[in-house]
Amino acid sequence: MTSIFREPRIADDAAPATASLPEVAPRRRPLRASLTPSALLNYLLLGVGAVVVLVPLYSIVAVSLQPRGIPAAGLGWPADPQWSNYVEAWNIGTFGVLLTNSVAIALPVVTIAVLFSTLSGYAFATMRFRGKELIFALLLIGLVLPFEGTIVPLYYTLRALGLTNTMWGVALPEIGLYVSFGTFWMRSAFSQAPPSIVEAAQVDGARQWQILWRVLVPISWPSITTIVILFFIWSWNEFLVALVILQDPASRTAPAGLGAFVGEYTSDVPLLAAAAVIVAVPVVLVYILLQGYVIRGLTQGAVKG
Amino acid sequence: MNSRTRTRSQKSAYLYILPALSASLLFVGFPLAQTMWYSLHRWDGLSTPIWVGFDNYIEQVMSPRVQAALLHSIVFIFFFALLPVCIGLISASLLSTKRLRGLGFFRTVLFLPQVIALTVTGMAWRWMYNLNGPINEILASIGLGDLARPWLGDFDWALPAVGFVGTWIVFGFCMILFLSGIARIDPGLYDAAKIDGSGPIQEFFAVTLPGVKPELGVALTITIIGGLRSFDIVYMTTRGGPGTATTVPALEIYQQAFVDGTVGSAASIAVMLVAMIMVAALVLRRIFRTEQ
Amino acid sequence: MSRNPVFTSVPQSGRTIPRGRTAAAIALAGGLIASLGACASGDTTSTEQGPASTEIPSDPVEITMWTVQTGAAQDSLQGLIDAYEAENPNVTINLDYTESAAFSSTFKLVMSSDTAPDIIECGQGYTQMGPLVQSNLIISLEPYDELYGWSDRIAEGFLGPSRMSDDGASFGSGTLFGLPIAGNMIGIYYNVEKVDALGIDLDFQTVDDFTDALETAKAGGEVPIMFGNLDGDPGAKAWEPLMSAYQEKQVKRDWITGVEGSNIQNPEAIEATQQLLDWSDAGYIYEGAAGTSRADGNALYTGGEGVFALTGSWYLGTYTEAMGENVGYTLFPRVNAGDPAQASGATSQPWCISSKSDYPDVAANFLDFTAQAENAQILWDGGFLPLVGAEDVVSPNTGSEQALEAWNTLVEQDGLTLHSDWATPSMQRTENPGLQEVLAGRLSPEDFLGTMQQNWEDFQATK
Repeated sequence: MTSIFREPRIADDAAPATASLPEVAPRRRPLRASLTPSALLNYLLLGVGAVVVLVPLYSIVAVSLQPRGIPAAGLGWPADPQWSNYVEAWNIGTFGVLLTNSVAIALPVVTIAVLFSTLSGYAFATMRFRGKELIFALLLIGLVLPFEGTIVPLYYTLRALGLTNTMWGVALPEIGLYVSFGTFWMRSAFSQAPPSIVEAAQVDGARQWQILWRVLVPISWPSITTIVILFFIWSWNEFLVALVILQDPASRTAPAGLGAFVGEYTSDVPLLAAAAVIVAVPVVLVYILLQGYVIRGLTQGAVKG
Repeated sequence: MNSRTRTRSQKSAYLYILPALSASLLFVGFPLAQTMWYSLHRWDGLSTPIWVGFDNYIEQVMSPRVQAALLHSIVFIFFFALLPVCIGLISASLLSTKRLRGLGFFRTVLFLPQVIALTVTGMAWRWMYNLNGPINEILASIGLGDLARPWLGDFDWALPAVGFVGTWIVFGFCMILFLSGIARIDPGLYDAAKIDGSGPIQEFFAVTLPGVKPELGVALTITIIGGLRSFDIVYMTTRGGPGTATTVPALEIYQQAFVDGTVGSAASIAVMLVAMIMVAALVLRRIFRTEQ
Repeated sequence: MSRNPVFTSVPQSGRTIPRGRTAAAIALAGGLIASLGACASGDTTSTEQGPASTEIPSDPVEITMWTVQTGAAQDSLQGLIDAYEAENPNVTINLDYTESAAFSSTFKLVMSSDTAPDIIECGQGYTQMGPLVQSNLIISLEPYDELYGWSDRIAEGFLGPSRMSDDGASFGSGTLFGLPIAGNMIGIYYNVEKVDALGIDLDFQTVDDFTDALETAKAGGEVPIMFGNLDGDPGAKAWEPLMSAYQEKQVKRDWITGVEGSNIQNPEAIEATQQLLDWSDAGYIYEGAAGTSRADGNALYTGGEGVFALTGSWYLGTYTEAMGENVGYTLFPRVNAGDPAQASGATSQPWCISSKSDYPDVAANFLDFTAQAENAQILWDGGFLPLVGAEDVVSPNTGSEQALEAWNTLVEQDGLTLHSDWATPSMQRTENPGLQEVLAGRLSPEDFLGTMQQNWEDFQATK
């Protein structure tokens, strides 16, 4: 993943990407849309892509509404949608508790990981210090690590710290993993700030700390928002760490709870599908509400970094 | 900057880095170091580890199952990286000639698979590939019923079927990434190419492809790493079966550590996998490094 | 106490650290690994066990019991707890459920932690019980057996698989480390309406009789055997009855418990495996089996697709709940008519007591309660085949009654042959994918059994 994080290239004509992100494809031949053959081709292509994405998602919703106990078949929308499957899954799986637990972990993870990433990204973007490259390389490990490989030692580390079976036992490893991406991300965001702004602030006598919070953070909100959302999605969907660290059924997260649910209601396919949809919906909602930031941030920031 | 401020900034830099670095070292670096240590032992995760030197590595490299897993992860690079990147490149280059109404909707949809928990994605695709599932139904409805099969249980088809789930997850992301890359290309370059008498295909190779080189680097790096370390999708769809037709290194790690209870040899695969991913990342970085 | 000398020998003090930053960093990391490694290897000193007693304290006591049982089975455990708490109002027993895949990934970690549950459900053999015994994380139940007389009440055939040597290196005899409370067996479920409609005679005397029934079912346009084998284990469950039908029970048991010189690549086992392949080739197994999950396979069967299902008694509750009187149960026949009944089966996972428990006496007292004849009904209501008092329980439906009858026959004839995948910790991962390959015609029965034997020998060599 290193190549995302090359040294910054300040685009010749563009304003800093952090300050104003260009829309996709507006600058080239800004013609008004009309249904020319080429526009039709465009819609056809996008339409096929969208259908390919949506069919599996549609199908799991359709299955979740099938009557229970009858083997599901095909793509058809159930004649008599069983919305009660959702009520049933919600109650049996105690998803109210599970979703609350997931939020209770995701919120501190997002807050702390974003804060840590902002601080270290600032240092890497604007300061010189010995060992910079080495420390940066150390942080890089977090980007490539498969958690399956280190989960057993991680468990013992957390136990030595007395953190197993606690919310922090899940939150802290997630923070440790996400700050890698976050640092690279914020480094690239801050690198793109025009040097003149920072210099002007320095001339005004602003200190490092003030430059960060009064100058750089305000113009970097799009980048910060992107990692806020990404960290939320990642934390929400994290399965293995939550599974191993949290033993108490009452403290499980939504995906881990879904795992238990799958084990317990193994032959009740519509109920399982309903439970899966329940787990997916919150994060999809967050995404849809804030999707502009995610997509723009990722496509611009990833490359500009 | 005069030398005084530079000296000052050097010292405070460590304070800014300290929180992130300590979190990373404690919960990523340290367990990884321990994993390396355990990879040199026979250990069930509980009793006293027994030093075995590099035996685990030798044993695992020789194991047909692990060899299969490594081979599959290379196949997955095709499905997780090359295929989606090609789809993304081709469609984005066809697309971006016009500003489209409703593009926002399509972008939202195309990115959606990135957002959904892999547990849920796995469930959905298990159903898609079912003998009575949508894919076979679609095949039957277009007169290709003979091709219908239990996809995930078929020794020849299970690997591509699981791989295609990977393609499904990332192709939309690649499309969006390249769309924005092409948007950045100076229209004048296309005009120049036209004047030179380039056709669409020459135009693609002369202008579009070099123009999106940064995006290409990003997309390939992210997707190749994703392919190499894939776990959840395989775990949720086939658990490596049928036989060992879809097993991958990360799944081997998980199963050896948690099913077989051989944490030491699982650790040795983990170390090899991390090394593989690092090498892949460095090679890609070299290829796509922008000229200074 | 098994603190690891390798770890403690790593230098931890600054004095031995060589000069230079890198060296210091490496040494520091080494020291950290050493200190945590010591924890990792398990602080397994058990608090010195006091003399066992049948007396339980009268102060309020709270203990935890950890299970993987679901549905009706879990309800019946709760039923036992409720009954026990009613008799002993000062005792509270919390029943914690963990899904079985998650359980196997975490039980070692949890049992070695300070918050280990007092009572744990623990698979016999080398996979689960072995490591716990080896690390002294569960206690010997011998003192309690002496006090409560479990071995007088429960047949040795049932208790044997819960015995291990004190170092956990062999199982099947030695110290009692777990108390099984119920049994399981693999047999034939049948769809009553379909069997009637097809005119199938259920009095199977031989495997050939059963194969004929499969042919009848196929000729009648039905799916003869239903299962979904995407997850791998349902195929193995369908293979087990054949292994028990062809092999002599002691041969099968010896191989599983690791008796020296045992070999699963024997003519009977090859024939048994070939029989499964023949069924598959003849189209007697659901055509979508390879791509259908275990759950979907069960849903198809209870939904009315498939005449027979070859699987364990643990699905009795699921099947009878969904199919009511439309599901029946019978034992799988032997190869030759008149041979004594045999079935792959065993006691269900025994209950063990954590060496970290503050109240081992209470835990043992509760275990004794579960093994009382008068509580057999509670177990049976949850689909647990009772080990004690099975004669007097009332079955909720015909299918269950038939299963209980089969169980009593097996017990009477000492016909339980254990499960093949107990043989080594990684046997399941050799057996299940291997059978998928056999069913797909990619691996011959002989070679398949060869890989199992290889796995077995590799494991015996490391013990």
